[in-house]
Amino acid sequence: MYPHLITDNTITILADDTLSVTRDHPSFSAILDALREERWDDAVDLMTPRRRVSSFVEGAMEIVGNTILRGGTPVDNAIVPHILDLHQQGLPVGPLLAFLDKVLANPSMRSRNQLWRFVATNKITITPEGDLLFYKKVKDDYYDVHTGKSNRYTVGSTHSMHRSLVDDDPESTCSHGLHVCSYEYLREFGGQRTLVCRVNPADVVSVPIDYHNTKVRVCQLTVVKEVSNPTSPTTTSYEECPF
Amino acid sequence: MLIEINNTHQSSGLTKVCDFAIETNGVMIKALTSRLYSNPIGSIVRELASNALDACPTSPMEISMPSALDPQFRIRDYGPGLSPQQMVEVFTRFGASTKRNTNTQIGGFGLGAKSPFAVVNSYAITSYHGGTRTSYLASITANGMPTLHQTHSAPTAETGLEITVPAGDPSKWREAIDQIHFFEPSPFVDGAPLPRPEITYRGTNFFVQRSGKPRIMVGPVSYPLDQMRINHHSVPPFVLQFAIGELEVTASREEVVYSPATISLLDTRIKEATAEYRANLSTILAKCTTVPEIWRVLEGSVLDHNIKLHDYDVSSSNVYLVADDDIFAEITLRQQNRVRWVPRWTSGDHLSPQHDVYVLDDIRRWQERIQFHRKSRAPLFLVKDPASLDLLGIPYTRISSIPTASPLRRAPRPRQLRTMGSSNKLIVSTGSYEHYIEVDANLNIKGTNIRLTFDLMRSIAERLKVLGLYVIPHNHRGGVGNLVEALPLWEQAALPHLDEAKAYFQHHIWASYHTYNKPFVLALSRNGLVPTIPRMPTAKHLDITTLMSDKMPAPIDWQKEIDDAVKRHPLLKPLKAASFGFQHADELTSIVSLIIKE
Repeated sequence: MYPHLITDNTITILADDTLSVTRDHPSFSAILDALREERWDDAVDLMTPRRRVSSFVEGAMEIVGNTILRGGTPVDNAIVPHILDLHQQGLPVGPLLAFLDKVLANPSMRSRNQLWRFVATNKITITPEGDLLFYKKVKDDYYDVHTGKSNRYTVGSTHSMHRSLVDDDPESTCSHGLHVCSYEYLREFGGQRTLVCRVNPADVVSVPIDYHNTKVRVCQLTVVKEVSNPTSPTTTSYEECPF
Repeated sequence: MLIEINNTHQSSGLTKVCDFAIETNGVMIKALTSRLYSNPIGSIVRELASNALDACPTSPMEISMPSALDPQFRIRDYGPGLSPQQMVEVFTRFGASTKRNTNTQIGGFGLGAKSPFAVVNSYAITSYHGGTRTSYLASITANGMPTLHQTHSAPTAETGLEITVPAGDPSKWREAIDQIHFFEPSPFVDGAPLPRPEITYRGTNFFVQRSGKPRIMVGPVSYPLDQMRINHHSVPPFVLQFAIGELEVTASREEVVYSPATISLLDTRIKEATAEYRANLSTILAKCTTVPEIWRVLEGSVLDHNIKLHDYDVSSSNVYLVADDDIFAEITLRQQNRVRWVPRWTSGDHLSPQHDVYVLDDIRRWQERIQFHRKSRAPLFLVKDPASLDLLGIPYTRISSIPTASPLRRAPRPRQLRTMGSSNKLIVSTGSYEHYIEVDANLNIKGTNIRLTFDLMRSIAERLKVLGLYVIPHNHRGGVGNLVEALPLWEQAALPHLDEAKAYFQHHIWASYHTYNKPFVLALSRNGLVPTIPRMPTAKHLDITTLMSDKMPAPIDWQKEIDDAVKRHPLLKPLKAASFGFQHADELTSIVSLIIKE
């Protein structure tokens, strides 16, 4: 047993080191349960994300201080909850590493930062190849909602435009580019049909600041399938994902 | 911080009932913790860091910012640490301070060490003191009263104090670190010294940040300067430095107390700082050798605040600068003794091969060099380092490789020729300016805005001459742009043939006038020189580019042209018949009337 203190808004465990979390920590109630059930090691484990992350990535990534490095390049901490999610479900690390490599291959630092902002605020779905799955809405005839005639998004088709033509300014909330979105934005997205699109993270150009970072402009996408009842992804892994 | 309480209190004939006291209860504790601060997280960082600096002004404190990997804020100083007795005094007594009699230390209110209670109900303290490492937990109990628990102790060789505060959203904590940017020695944050804001100028008792809002520094702690309270608007991003105790700060230490004395002092100091900075600005700018450097000096500091720039011509609109390998800035500058500057940051990946991209390696004459070199009127990109362009595969030109040319001495090669609508105006665009050349009913050529086109016009005149066409300046006394300047040479080109020219064109003009009751106007159209009267038999299409090209055109046998035209057009037959050698207008008129009768 470890000495610990539970208050209204904090839990502190005095293990080898002082471990404390606030109520808004995603595992707060799980830690509380572990302490009540006297599962001391589980509680300590839940309170040290660092340990869980490093055991999951097993040398494929490096943790220096509070920074995660992939091949020496820092990766945004926004990925941590997704790593923990995959870890919790006992899923392989490969797709995550492929995803990170593709993000780091994105040629624009500005786009990368915007993508991390998306990752931090949305549930993401990573395919085994490390691509991201997004939603997109199209008209009944599969043409794009904006012009209704420029692109026909049939299942299996790939659409691209020159990167330089996609507006990379997150302040321009409605602008040029191929648009995809997270589940949360779907109800804002006009159109009759809902598609699932695969996007290489390197092709993400910008995440406009409106609608709480749920909309994404990309320069290439592939339509994977059409869905009739879109749902919010419950996990980061493609295999486990309802779509 | 020296805090003196020395109120006058003389009483007579009064019966004292009781002294006031502060009751210790949960509500009072809340008032002194969570209700004290408007920005609780900022206060925790500032208070704990100030205490750490007071405890050890010689070696840097270490701060571990909360992150997804470790959601705790930790701060460690390497001072002497606190004995169990001191722990009790400092952490359990609100209002207890050991720093009240000196201005060498920041603290003094006796509240800072308890500031984490503003956000959380418990936090941990580890004191390394006298060979023992002792851990404590401070927490708010069920009735709202704080308690200090001692958890365990172990021998240690270290000294100092470590405070661990559980943290929620890491981003809020990162924002708070701004306040301790100027701490000396620089705190170590997550293993590295805290980067300081770039300082563009250091003056007496103030310095200028590259960007940001004006601040007041009392000792090492910086506070925002509330411009509304001091009736100063748009103060440049100065950081005004004051010694501890020179300005009064609120108990929450979130801002200075804007008393009349403080306002007056701030006002004086802002005026002094502005005067000093303005006086030195031209010296600073003169040292800059590249536009990015100028940018660094000016950005956020000068241009947004309308400090006049003397003799500094950075004027050009739609110029993009690259301040960084990855970040581009668009500047719109308008210079009229005062520079307005509208920076907009954008990343470089919207650059494409269609853009005019130059490597800025000649700051002095860059505008002159590229003026006639640009391909288009599209936004211009000036890039400091071509490495990123190589990576993107975007072609660029080094400005230093473009020959300098004074635009007034060497005529620009026209980049584009077009007519304006259906009128008879020829627009010669040189990339930077557009010039209009108008040919009127008398085949006079008028120019507007032809500041730089004199050589161009002369070249056109020479080619017209070869073609058997002559030009006559519209107005010798000027009035149209700088045409007057150009006239002497212009006439030299045209006047030797003036009489012939007049005669030739009068013939056509009169003839056409009387034939069609419209002046014969030689207009410059997209396809060439054509009369505006479409059925004019002598219409001859001249490709404008023949007038503008380097090569002289092949001469045109106009007599043959007219003969051919006459053959094609019956109306001209009498003219032919009446012989083609007349010189006088009345003669012409009679012939024309003859034609009309027919």
